[in-house]
Amino acid sequence: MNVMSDPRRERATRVKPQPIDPRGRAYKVVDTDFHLLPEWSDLRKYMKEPFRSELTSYPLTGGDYSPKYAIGLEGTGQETQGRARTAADILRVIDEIGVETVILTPGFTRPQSMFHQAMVTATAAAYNDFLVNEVLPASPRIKAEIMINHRNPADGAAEIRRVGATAGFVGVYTEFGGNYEPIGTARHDPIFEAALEHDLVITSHIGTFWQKATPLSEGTRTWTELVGISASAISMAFVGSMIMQGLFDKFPSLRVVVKEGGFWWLPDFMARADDYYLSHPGDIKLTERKLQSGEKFLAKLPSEYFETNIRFSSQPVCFPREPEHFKWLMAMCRGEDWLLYSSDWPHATFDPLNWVFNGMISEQGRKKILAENARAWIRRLG
Amino acid sequence: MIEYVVGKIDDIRPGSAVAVQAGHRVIAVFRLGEKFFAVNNTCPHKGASLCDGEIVMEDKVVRCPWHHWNWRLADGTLESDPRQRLRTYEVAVEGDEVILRA
Repeated sequence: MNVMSDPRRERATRVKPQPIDPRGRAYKVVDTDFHLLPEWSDLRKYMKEPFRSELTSYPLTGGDYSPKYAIGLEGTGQETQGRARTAADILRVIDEIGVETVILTPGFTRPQSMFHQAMVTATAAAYNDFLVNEVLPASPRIKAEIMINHRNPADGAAEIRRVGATAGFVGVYTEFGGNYEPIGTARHDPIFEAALEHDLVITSHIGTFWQKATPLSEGTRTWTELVGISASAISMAFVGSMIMQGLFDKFPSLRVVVKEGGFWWLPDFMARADDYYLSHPGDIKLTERKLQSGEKFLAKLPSEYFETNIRFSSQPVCFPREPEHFKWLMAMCRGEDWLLYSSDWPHATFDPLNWVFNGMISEQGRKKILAENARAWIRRLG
Repeated sequence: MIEYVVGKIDDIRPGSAVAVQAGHRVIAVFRLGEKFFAVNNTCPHKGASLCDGEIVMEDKVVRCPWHHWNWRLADGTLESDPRQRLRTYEVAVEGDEVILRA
C-alpha cells in the first residue's frame, strides 16, 4: 500500500527525545549535589608522601557485601548516568541536564569511612588540591565542597582553614551513616568553628552504611532498606543530635544542608521532637555544650531550628501514590522554602529537574527550589 | 487511529528501539528478534526517554535508563508492580515496512 494513497497512513518522524524539561534552563538552576569522580592517577599526584608512593589505587573502604548488587547492570549504581572526571566533563553534563551552577560533592572518592585516619586526612587534602588546581579555575559555574576527615575534628578544621579561602568552595562535606557518630556532638565543634570563619555551610550527606559491621549493616539485605529507609532514619538522628545537643545555640549562624536523607519525615520529626522535649527537657543541661554554657534549655523549640539553621537537598523526590498528597507534604515540609534542588548525578538515584513542573508547585516555588533558596542559603555561591 | 510508517524493517536492528512522533505523542518502537512492540516513550516515574533504555531480551522488558524501572514490552506493565502500566500500541509488519497504529 502506498503511503501517499491512504489518508489514514502517515510517515512517522524519527525523533531523539530530550527528557530533561527544557523549561528548567530559564531558572539558572543551582544543582547542590553533583558527584565528581576523578581518575586515581589525577588525584595521586596531589597525595602527600609517603601515601603517593605507596598507594596504587583509590584507598577505598573494604567489604564485599553490599546491597548495591541489586540495583544496576554495573552493580554499583555509582556511575549509572556516566562519569565526570574533569572540569570539561562537568560542564558538558550540566549543560545536558539543564544546570547553570553546580556544587560538587565527592563521588566514590570519599574516604571518610576508612579506619585509617591519617589516610583519610591525606586523601581529603589531595581531593581538595585537585579541585583547587584543576577543576575550580575552569569555570565560575563550578563550585565545590571541601572534603575533610570529619571524624578527626582537629584534622578536619585544619583542612578547612588550609583551603577555605579559595574561591569556589562553598561548603564543607560531612556524611551521615550507620557507623558514624552523629555530627551534632560537641567534639565536632572545631569543624563548625572553622566553617564559620570562612562562611561555609556544613553538608551532611548520605554516607556509608554497610562497609563496616554494625547491627544495621548486619541486619539489612536490600537496597531499599539501606539506602531508601535507613538513610532517612539516620539523617533524622544526625539532625536530632545537632538540634538537641545545642549546636545551633552555640553557633546560631551555622547553616546546614542535609543531602539525600529525605525530608518528608519533617512533620513527624518536628511534632515529636517538640513533644518529647517539652515533656522531658531535664537532660538538655547535661549535654556538653550546655554544661559549658550553663544553660538549662534550648533557646527555642526543636522544630524552630529548621527555619534558621537547616535546609535539604531535594533528591530523591518521592511521590506519594495519591498525587494530591504531594501538595500536602510540600506544605507541611515547607518545601518551597526549605528545598534546594539537587540531581545526584551520576548515581542510580539521579533526579532531573522535571518534577518541579508537575503542576503542583507555584512559579515562585520553582524559582526558589531551583536556584533562589540555594543562593540565599549558601552565601559563598555569590 | 492513524497508521504511521515507522520505516523499513532493516532500519531497526534487532535489540534496538527508535522513537517516533505520532501526532502529539512520542512513541518508542522496539524490535526483539523479528517481533516489534510499541509503548509511550516517557517513563512515568521521572520522565526518562525509554527508547534509550536497555532492552533485556530474556525478560522482554525495557529498563528505564535513569532508575531501572523494568517495563514489559508486551503489555506495558511494570515488572515490580503490574498495576502500573504504559500505554501500548499495535505494530504490524507489512512487506518490509513497520507500521505503527496509534
